[in-house]
Amino acid sequence: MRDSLIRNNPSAVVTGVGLTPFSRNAGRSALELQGEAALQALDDAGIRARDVDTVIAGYATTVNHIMPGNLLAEYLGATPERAFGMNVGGATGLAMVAEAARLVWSGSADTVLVVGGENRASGQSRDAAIATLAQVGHATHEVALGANIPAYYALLASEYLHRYSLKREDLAPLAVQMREHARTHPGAQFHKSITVDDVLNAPLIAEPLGLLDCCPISDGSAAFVLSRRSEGTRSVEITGIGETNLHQHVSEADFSSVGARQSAEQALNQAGAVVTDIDIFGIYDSFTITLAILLEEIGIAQPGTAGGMARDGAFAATGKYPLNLHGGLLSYGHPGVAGGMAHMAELVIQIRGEAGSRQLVERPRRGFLHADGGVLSAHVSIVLDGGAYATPSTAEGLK
Amino acid sequence: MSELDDWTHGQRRLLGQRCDEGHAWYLPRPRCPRCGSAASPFEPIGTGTIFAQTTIHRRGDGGASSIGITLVDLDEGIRVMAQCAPGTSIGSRVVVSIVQDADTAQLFPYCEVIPA
Repeated sequence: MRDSLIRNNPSAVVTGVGLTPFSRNAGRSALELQGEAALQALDDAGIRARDVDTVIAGYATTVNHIMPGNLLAEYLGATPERAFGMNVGGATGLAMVAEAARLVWSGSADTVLVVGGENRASGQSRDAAIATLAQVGHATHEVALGANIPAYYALLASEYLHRYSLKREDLAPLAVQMREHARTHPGAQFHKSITVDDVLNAPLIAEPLGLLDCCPISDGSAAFVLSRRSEGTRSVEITGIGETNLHQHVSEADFSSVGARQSAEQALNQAGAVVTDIDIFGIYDSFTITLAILLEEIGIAQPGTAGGMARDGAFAATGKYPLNLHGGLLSYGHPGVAGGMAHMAELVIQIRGEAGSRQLVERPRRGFLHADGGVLSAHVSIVLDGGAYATPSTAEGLK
Repeated sequence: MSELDDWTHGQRRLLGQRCDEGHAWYLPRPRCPRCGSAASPFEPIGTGTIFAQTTIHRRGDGGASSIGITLVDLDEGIRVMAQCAPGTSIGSRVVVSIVQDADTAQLFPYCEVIPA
């Protein structure tokens, strides 16, 4: 809408992608992980750190630095005109990309480096990580009761299952599908197949969510370079962005409309597309319930049917809506900011035709991304377009 | 005690806020979040209906424990997070009151099912 006034000339193109493996312990600091993904992205774009005029870095809970963009810029040897950090919870990665696109569209920036990464799993105790994350809840009116992130999402899940007369087994297929995707990705945190019974029999964390309904806490990093129009079959353009913020706390959320619909519509309208024009999807999946609610609000699934669609294979590589082919947060892993960026890395790689053994048989052209931060609080949607290329790229990209 | 001191300030009472336009809400704000008009506090009766509920399971060095967390829609039209007995059903009629944890002295809202 408003962004469409400034889009088009120049275009904002993803020219570089970096993504590390996600794991329980990468053996590196947050800054080292950020540097690794950033250098991958810069190398992929064929530029040096000095060529970047803007650095945007996501927050890292293990660093809590007040100048994350500057810290990373110096480490890389970049001397950007502008450097800044962003904090929008799990939506931070896509929010940074949206901001980068706006800077390029407005003519303010030519080359933007966007990075998220941290040693969230190994750099602190599990209890410390959970306590930090719980702070998206209200400090005095929610956190003090003993609630935590799984509990906030479990509240959403309890109401969802009640509203549609569903059971835990109706969400479980989403976790099973994500694991199936992750099995063949060498960078994924989990590779062992799981069944619906495995999900149902896993220890309960916050009912109705069990351990396998929840994403892990991981180490890892991701990065992108966004540039003004560049030609070639490896160029993937950002053609639509949408953002919505209707609440912060679950106590204030409108469970029947959390904001994903508005965000998605804005991005799709700007791109001149509808859901059925999209060839590949990357949707935030911090919990099975997150994925179900987002798929339904965005309009990919009818209300109450997301898990059933997963059971029927709709989100498989061969399904109608290929979704999170890297395994998503649930199985590729979730180091915070980089978690939501991994979905975008997979879409860009697939649109380029560089996904190797995971490559969709029919190379996708348009991709749709959505991430949320908090408790379905902050929403960012992005539409990617690979353009009307003729021949698949033969470049050796990320596998 | 001030007009705005609720259980989070150590006062044993539940407070909501409302405006002259008839909007009511729970988390403290300087103005009405919907219409921007002046906010004034009120004490809800405490009766309401369970809207969402989870039971958190903890496994630590001290063994396993569980607590119930719920969102209660109070009859005055505000939604309050409270503790509850694990497994309390959505749709249950409840009454929310302020209780004190015996070990930590922490005050918090707790809801009990009203017998039918």
